[in-house]
Amino acid sequence: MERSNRRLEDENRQKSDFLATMSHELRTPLSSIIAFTDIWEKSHAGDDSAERRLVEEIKQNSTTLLNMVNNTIDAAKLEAGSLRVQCSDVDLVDVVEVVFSVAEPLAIKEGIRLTRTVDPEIPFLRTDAEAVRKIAMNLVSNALKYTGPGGAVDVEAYSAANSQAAVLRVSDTGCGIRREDFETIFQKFDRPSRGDEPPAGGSGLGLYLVKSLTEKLGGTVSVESEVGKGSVFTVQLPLQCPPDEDEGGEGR
Amino acid sequence: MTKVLLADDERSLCEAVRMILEDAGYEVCVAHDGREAVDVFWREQPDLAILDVMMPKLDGFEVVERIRGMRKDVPVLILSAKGDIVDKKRGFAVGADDYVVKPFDDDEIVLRVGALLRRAAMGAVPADGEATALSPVETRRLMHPVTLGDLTIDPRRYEVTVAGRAVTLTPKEFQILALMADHPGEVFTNEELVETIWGSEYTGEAISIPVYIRRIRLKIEKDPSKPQYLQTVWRFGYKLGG
Repeated sequence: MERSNRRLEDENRQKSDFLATMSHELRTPLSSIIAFTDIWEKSHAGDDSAERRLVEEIKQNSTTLLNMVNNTIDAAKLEAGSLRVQCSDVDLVDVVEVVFSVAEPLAIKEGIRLTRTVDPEIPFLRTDAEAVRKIAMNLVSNALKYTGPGGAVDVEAYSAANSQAAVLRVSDTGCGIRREDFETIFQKFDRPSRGDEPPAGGSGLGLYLVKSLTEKLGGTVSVESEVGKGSVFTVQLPLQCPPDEDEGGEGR
Repeated sequence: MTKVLLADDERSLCEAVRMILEDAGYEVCVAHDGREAVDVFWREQPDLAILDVMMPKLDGFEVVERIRGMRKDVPVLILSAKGDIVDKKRGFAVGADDYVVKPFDDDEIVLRVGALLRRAAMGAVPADGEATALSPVETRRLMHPVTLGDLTIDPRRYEVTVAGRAVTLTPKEFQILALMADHPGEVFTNEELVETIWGSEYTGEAISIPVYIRRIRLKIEKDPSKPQYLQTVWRFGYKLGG
């Protein structure tokens, strides 16, 4: 038993070391690529050349790759039990604002109407700001991915009826999800069918992270959907930090 | 010219950050390992240091400890791909002033460097280590009336109006708004606001800046859920725009 426990401890330590190394080794060169494309764009402001479009493609794909790396590392951390919650006061107005600012250019490019409705007096959450941002960002990214041109994605945030939680709701007019897939879409690497179309690109970790992070914060996530009409994902998050989690967040 | 020490063993990323900082008007001296970073710091006496964590010879945390043994007043920003709370806590425990996780936006680096230097210049941490808060009198003396769109902040009269309508703010709400109005477009971290307005005896945990920001938005924004004036800069803080 003691040998078995020691082996498990060694394995967990190796996993953590591996995650730390991969985090550094993957993120650092990506940081360079994104930083250099930013430098190029700034020094060529107003340039509408073909070269600019090539650089934009490099940046967009680098950002996509970075998001996949981040999702993979987060998923691995969740599995290894090494992802820690850092609680601070979080205003969902701020979370939706930042997600919107990132998602809006993509929505415009794809011809999708992106809207938001946030109760300005929604209660503050004592929770992990970055985890909530990842939940919201993954839901919105997914909604945009499965909604075609001319469609709509809406983000809502409001107080739950019982006033003990806040609700984040992302709805779309996309292809919808088959009822039999409602459970599997939250599993790792699952990429739901889009009817006759091939599955959308991506790591298949977005919704797995949404569910895992939501549950880590003490919340719940549910889905309603109809094929051909669209989907609604609803996340409820408690107002207080989950018990036994780190209350020493930096409030950023 | 303000001098910044930049230490990172990843030469490509180091070069990118050097270009970003020089473009922003800083003089940059570079090191590619921890021991070199300490040597360059001693020789160049920079105004601020940016350190990667995973460097050969001495890691970033050890470099911070050595720097703090030489100079307590120079702001230190840690730049790392390791974003775990354990690493962040260690960074702050050894004396770093800020911690940025890679990858970062180039604007973010420039904003953070600017904020750290501003804090140091405003005397947020004077040589004796005791920070002093702004008194209401000092707030008024420092600033002139500022108008952004329909919003006017007049520190001399302690007045805020939106489209000519007077808005009632509490003293702390007013001080926050007046401080940011004196630096329109500049981003303030929660810690910076707490230290400047309340003083060093308070911590970011005792004062909830997001709560104050919300209250101010409810009073001055046309749509507080889509702030036009008091904007969020994620992973950083807030700024007064519009």
